[in-house]
Amino acid sequence: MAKDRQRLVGGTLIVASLLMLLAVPVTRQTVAGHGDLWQWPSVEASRQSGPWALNRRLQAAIDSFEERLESDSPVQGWSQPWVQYVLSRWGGVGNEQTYLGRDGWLIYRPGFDYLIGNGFLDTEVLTQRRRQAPSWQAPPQPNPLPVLLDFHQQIQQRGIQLLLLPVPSKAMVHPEALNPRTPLGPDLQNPSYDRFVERLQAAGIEVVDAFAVLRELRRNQDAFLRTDSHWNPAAVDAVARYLAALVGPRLSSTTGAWHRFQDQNTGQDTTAPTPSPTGAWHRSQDQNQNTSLSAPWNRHSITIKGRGDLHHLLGMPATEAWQLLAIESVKIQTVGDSDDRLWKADRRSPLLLLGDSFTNVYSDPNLGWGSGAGLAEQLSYHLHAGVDRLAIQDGSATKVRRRLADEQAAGRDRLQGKEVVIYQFAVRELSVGDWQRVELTR
Amino acid sequence: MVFSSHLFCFYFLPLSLLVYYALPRRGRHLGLTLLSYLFYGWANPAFMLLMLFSTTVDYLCGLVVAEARPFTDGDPARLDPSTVRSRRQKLALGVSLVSNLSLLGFFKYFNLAADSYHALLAWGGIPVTTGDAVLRVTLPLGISFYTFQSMSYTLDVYRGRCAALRNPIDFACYVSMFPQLVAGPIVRFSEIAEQLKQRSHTLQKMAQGFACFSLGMAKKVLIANPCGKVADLTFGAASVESLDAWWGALAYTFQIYFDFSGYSDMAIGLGLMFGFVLPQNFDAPYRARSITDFWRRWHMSLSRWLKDYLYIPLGGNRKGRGRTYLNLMIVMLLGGLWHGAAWTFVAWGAVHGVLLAIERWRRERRGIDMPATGGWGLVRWTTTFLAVVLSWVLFRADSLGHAGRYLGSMLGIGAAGPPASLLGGLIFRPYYVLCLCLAASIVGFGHTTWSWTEELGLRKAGAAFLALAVALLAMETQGYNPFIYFIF
Repeated sequence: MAKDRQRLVGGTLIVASLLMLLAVPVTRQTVAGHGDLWQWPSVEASRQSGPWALNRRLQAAIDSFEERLESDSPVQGWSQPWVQYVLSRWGGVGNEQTYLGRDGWLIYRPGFDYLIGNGFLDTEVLTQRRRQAPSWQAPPQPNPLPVLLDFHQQIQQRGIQLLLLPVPSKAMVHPEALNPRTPLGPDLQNPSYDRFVERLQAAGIEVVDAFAVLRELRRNQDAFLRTDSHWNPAAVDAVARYLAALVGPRLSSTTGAWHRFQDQNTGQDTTAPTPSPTGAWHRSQDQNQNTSLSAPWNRHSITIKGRGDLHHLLGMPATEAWQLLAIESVKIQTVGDSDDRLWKADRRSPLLLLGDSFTNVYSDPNLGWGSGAGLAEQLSYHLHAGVDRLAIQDGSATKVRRRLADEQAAGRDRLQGKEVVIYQFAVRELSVGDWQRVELTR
Repeated sequence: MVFSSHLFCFYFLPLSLLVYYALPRRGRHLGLTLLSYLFYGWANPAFMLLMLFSTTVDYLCGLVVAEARPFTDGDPARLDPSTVRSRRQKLALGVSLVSNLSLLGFFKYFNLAADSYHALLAWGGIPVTTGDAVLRVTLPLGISFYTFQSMSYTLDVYRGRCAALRNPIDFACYVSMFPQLVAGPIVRFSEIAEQLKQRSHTLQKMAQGFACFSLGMAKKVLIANPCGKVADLTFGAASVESLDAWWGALAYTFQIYFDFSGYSDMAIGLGLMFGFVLPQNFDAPYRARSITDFWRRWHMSLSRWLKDYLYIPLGGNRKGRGRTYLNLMIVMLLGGLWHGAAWTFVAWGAVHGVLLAIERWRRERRGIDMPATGGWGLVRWTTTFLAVVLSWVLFRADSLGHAGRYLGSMLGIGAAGPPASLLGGLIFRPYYVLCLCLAASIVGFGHTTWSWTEELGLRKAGAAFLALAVALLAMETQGYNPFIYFIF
């Protein structure tokens, strides 16, 4: 009798477990269909010959097959938001991409890892990063220094000045989001950063201290969006103003206009950061210089409401009733000309801004926070002049320079007539980016 | 492919069971072998050739040692342990050992040797190119496990512990069997020889197998993974505050146990589903009252392997006190190196070797062991657990320097940088605290999976099913799913 009962219990466990395991592929087949799960990826030409290349391609195909199988799973799609809700609501944790901070703050993990991790220039770190690449992929080039020095040399040969603008990560500027006892200060930085700046400065490259500007801004207000990985409009404006002060006097065609405009708007500059220690910002210089530039840009305030990219990455349920984080409201300042036409990049400008999503936010509507109010727009406004812009989301380490080279190769020389290039990148790219050298043709 | 993955749980496992039980008995080993090669080749198809090579060499060597011929009827007779082996037999054993150790040596330790050589040159002021520029060897999955298993076959046949296998499919099935292929338990041939010839497939075994697999999965996904997250954060930081460092070390202590023992439970469960009874691999190691006791409970299949094939052949404790200590040190140093090709693992093995030698010396000096119960028992447990936690720092650290800094942080030596204070904001979240507390209570008071699944009643079966369901849900929705022993 006891044996029969044990057999029944055992049999039930086996059947129930098997049914549960089989339910997932059956559901997938029913909902998502057969799909094209197996795909041969293209591999670089240099790595395509012989049995090892075939093995590498096979590995890449297997990897993408498994990834597709997992990401297409309807069970995952249905359950993930609810599990995340439970973990965030009662467990206080985020996921692999997003850390849950205090008071509704979300922190982007790579930015946090940059701050807390080992020095990005440490030999061990560089070696490990090179070795972490899957065997079917070319290893990354993790060291930003030689690439930036090379880029500087290439554009210096054309008489163009390079300014680097590393944008600090949220955890550096808002440490209270994780620990209210951690003071905001310049030492909230990766251990390699000072060495990195010293090496660049020794080579004649100027590095803009956006962290100092944002710390100054933080005396009065927040500098980042709570549910987004990007800075808020006030921070964009503060940095743009700072950059304009730094760059304006160096641009031959805008110098006079910049000073005139600054003079006119002095009363509005209540949130202006203090000048940099280098003394680059001198408002009182030569206000009478004449210029042929057009009328000043206008700015209009627009309020945008929403939740940011980190909230999206957290993957909470879509239903409003199950939201843990409040909707954010930001006031952006769209920049337009006197005919109310939205700002556009000016290819004839002597200033080129290269960047990533920190440049694009408030400018590219795909990022969810409006348009016409990004870094280039605010820089234009404060410079009282046109600015050329080339920015690619998540691509400041290499893609943006590659695009610059591609445009040149296609006959559109974006460096033609330029005097200054500002190269903006998220500071986290120093520890996660793939910094490939790009040859700029003339 | 790892057990705690979407592909394995929802596709590979049901398919394997279907294929295995659909085949006639005579074809099951072939089916299981092909499935195992698919499982193994999934990570890197080229590695299948390596395993095939190792299997072929050991199969042929086994036949030579047993003085048998392939493809004739009937298994060869077991050798008489007391007779002297011929030169041919000794040579065959030598070929087997040399080929296995060469494979292991090259694929696992080439990079370490090259890096150490370059570091030495650099230390001496001689400029060198990086090792990566010359040659970087990719570590084949589970090579440490299957070479040890394969070697145990020729050794067991040579010693006359069991008969050689004439059927190459049976042998290939033993070496490649996917449940224990990449992370053990290390099954010595003598432990499974009879089962390869004949074993039962019962409902009870299958049910036990599912229960074992479910609990192993729950241990891995629900406990080891969150503990691993805390450990990764603290060990990945450039500097860390003292309390955070202890919390991180404790988290890693639980991660490695629940990760590895969970994977072993899954392997044992899968073995049972295919009718094999694999040996127990963990027996509540963190309840050990001494380091000697710890090694009787931790990775038991490796401890037994090292004892049978290394410690005893070295002379064990039969050649005097000094030689015994030396043998202990050699075994633990090599055991450490077996775990990973880095000096941190050697240091970890050395620490355990020294502790084992000290315990042995104390025992021999006093004549009797200190009591393992009452107040003394608590003292012994505390010191043992502390030693184990501290030694795991060596195991987890990226380098000896990193281990030194981390241990320094634990002891409050050296100031942590300002960013370190942010860590506390993440690692003490309710979810992590709950998981570590749960881990501690299971480690301290819970049953082992082995004993818990011996008798399956309705409540236990229900609990196992629920554990599997929750673990699968967590596996599906959480991106973080490393497996520590996968890379060994």
